[in-house]
Amino acid sequence: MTRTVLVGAAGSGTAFGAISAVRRAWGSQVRIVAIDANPAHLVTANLLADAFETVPYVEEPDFREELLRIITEQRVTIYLPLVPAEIAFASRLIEGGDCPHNLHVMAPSAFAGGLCNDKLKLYEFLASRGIAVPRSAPADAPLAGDELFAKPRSGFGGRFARRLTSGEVADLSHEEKASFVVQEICFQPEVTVDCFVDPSRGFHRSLSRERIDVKAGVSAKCRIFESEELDSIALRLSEALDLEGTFCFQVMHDADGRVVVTDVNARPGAGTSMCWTTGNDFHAANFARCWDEPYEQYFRPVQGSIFVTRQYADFLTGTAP
Amino acid sequence: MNLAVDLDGTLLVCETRQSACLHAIARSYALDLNVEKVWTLKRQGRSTRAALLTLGCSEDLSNVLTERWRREIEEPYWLSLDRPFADTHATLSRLVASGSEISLLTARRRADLLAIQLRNLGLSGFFRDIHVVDVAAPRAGKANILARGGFEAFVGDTESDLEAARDAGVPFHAVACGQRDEARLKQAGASEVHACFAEAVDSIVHAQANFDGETTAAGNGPPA
Repeated sequence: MTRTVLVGAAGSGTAFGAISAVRRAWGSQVRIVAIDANPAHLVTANLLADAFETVPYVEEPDFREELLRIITEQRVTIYLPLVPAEIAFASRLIEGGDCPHNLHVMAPSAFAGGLCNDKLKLYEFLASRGIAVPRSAPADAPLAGDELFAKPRSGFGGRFARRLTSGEVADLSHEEKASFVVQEICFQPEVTVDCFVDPSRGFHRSLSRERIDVKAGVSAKCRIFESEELDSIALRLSEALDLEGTFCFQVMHDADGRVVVTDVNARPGAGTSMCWTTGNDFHAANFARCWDEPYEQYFRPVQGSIFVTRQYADFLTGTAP
Repeated sequence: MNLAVDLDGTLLVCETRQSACLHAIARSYALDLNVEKVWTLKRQGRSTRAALLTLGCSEDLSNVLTERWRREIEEPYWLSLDRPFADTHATLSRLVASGSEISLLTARRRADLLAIQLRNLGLSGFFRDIHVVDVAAPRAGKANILARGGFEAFVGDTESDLEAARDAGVPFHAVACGQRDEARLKQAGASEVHACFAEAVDSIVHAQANFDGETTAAGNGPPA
């Protein structure tokens, strides 16, 4: 049976990394359908896909109908949603029994998907499970403190996240107060941990990426290393949130020097593909697991620290008269 | 053993990058191109341009697509789609462990990116020498290196590799897992065609063992 993968948010760096990994590992044996809210000529991943469709944003009422139409028409067998809202949507779709029976959706439970799409609820849940998180509160009932870190409860990629004084928090718009979370200031280094877990076989692998430099919320320079402590947190997160396959999370330190989890993504990150240079392809392993193929081949041990830097590449994606 | 080895199609899967790049270029013009058919034709001996013409692309379109493909195929992103064959690391490790010396012989425009790529793929530590020849004249470039290197064999995947080995008087072992299929390689005159690099090395080692045995028995000189 032809394997057809549908990748959401195809304009994202994460999608480009995932699709590149599929092409690298499986060439043209896998059919790739890419969807995004942007037109084809503004989505680089369109160049690697076999088919592309522009779809409404996930919050729009027509998204569901368009998604199910594409899944049916393109005979999609694997669906990889990549932005938090789409992951939460996909999780609800599965649990609502609305997916075609032969479709595998690479998304967590609706409960976990919902948590990963609401940072405040995520922090509360993780804290209840004994996983250290920053002290946090809704922006309309903030923590005490001269300086706080504010970010959207449902954001990703660090968008709109920033340090604010308590006065600036008080001056946030009504909309921002309703939709932001504020938390204690945390300290560098900020580390993203890329994880792969297969609970059915008791296999897991994680690799830590210290974010030395970041552009638009995505790692541009990293120090990659193995950490037993962060690997242990990865397993605890996987168990607490029932996360399987590839996912990632971020940690920093609180004022007491404790490692605290600042974000969890039930999906690979935009910087996850940087691990490929170390011989660790978390994207390929994620798909291999779905197809019951050996995934151990996509992992190698890392000795000491490996530095990886990233540069943009230019692609001619379309023409116009 | 002193061995020369080609890179693309011999140690690295070459179809993925070539096809993905051509596919992307076609899509940038909103063209639906069957890159699998293009690849089959290339394996049978056609150039990229000739394959496109065979599939019915116009001369102008074939020229545009080919010109862009040649310009872009060694850009860093496309190089990142290369991966070693499943047997590459193990076979190279086996050779090095046995005391063999391996020289890499490849035709590339971007020698500067080759070193980065080999490091990313975990291959750079296997080679005694790395020789990069001009893509415009790979036969002459490789023959020149082969003639001076004292190599016991050269493993490659194209008729150009075969001709270079013949010009240099070096035994050639072809692999049919790369740019050309078995039929094309035999048509070009390859007598030793193997499915993969590991099999080619087994054949070379076996032949070397036979030669050493006969040399020991005879006292001196190669077998007749």
